[in-house]
Amino acid sequence: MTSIITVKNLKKVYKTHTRKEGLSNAIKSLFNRKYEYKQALKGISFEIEEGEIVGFIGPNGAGKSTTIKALSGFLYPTSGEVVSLGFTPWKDRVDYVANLGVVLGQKAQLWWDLPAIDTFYLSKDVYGIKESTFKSRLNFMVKLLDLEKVMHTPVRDMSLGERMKCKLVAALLHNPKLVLLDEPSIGLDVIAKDKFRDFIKLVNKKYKTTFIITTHDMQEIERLCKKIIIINNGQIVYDGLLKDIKKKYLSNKFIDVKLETKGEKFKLRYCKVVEQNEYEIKIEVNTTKIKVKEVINSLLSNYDVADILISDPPIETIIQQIFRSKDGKV
Amino acid sequence: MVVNHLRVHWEYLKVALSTAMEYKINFIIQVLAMVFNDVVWIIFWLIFFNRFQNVGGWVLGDMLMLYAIITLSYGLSSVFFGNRNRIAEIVNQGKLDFYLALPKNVLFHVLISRSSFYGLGDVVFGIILAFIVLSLASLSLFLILVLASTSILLSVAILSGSLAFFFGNAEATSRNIFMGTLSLASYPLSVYQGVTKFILLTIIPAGFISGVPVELLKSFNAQWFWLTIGFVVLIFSIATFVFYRGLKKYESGNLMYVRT
Repeated sequence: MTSIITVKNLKKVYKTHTRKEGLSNAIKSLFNRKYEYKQALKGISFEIEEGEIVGFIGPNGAGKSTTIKALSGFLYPTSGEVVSLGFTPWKDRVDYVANLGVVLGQKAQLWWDLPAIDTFYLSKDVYGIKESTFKSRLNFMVKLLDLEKVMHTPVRDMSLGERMKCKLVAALLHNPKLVLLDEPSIGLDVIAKDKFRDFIKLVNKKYKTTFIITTHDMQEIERLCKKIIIINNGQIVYDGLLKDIKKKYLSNKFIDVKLETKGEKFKLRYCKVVEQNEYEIKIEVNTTKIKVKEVINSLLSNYDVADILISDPPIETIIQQIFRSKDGKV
Repeated sequence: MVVNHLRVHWEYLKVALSTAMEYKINFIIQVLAMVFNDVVWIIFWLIFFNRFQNVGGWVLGDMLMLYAIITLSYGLSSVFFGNRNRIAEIVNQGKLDFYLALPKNVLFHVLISRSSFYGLGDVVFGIILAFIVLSLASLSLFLILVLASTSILLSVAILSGSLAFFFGNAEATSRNIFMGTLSLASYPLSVYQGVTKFILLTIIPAGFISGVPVELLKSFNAQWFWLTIGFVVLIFSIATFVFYRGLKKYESGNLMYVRT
């Protein structure tokens, strides 16, 4: 595998001014303005390989958007190096973005008063896509995303989900090698999200398109991404496989037991009963202290067990643990 | 490269026209309002010249010529570069991201991606005025000067809009600078003297937008003609330079939109 993006020691400092509350302080700040320097990125480095779907995770203000913007060529970083698809985004912008697709979840990218199909045709000319290529790609995507009818209604009359799908189509028409999705599923319902994810997976498989996704939706990450990068306070705190972080960080497992006949209250060291009623017990096991096997044995010998389910805690829990830990390091 | 940009420009014009058709009543009202605005202005100067005959050597015909140039350059730039007065807003609200994500010259793309077709009202008005006051012999000179004025107007818009890169919320300031320049340009050049005149031919280029072209059409002067052309090149270069300088300071933005 060859890496398609290399980021080295990327830093970005924003200059903002601060003042205390009230009118008098507002007037004072006219003459004596105090500036504050906010380090949005404190020197991050990472690499991304071709054909990957990478999840970019972090709390609000962690530096996700700034990273995406630097990767898109939207802003000049304070220092550091980015080579993406062989280009420096903010220097070779035009050549670079010809191979790039960007979907900004919170921003308008379609012509509000026109049917989406008009925006698609504009994209065709802006990117200089050949008519035949354009037609076949458009048909392929429109069919998959169920847009045949919708794309002929003005964008302003579309639902949020329809609009988001159309934005995705507009960003993919020129068959970009790299696609940056900044909170693409914001505001979508469950069904729309599902379609969206399936579509991204399919495009990734069919065209070897590399995707970088920022999102707060951990299900999305679990469904789409093998690799994740976690960023907090402008620093990367984890860069690796999703399953590795689970392994590394998982000290707990959940055991759900269903009983044939009523059972006594469950009690065992290093186990926490999360919930228990007559026919069900839910236990959280600290696997660093006690083996799951031991717990199961205890359960089997003490109860008339009908069914057992062992599961990992959801990825949300792990991420929360990371963000809450003091240094934020994994 | 150039052909491709022209093609994109053409496609945007078509899109803008379709958009205008979406709201056709609004479209018609705006065109009529523009024409009404122009007619009121003409009536004012008709009354004025009826009483005073001439202002520092300028007669009614010169004034109509000036207005032909202004309405044409204002109208043409509205139609073909309809975003010229929205640069500050686009920068300030982080909307520039949209353009930066597309493989076209940013400034060009911003300017052409909108078209105010009601500017057609001005264009038609300007053409009618030109028919009335212009001799056929000076037609080519007139066209060149209209293009020069259009370029200067655009440059002023780019320069004032680029303030948003450096000072943040510059939407109102930028608009005032543009409209101020335009209104200074809508009086006879002969009313300005000395330092004022010098300023209007340098820092605030109102003189080159309308006054100098009218003087040139009255009596051609090669030196002033080339000075005008040179000035167009200079101010346009400065405007583009300032815009791209500012772009380096662009920090995008996270303004939340309902529109996505």
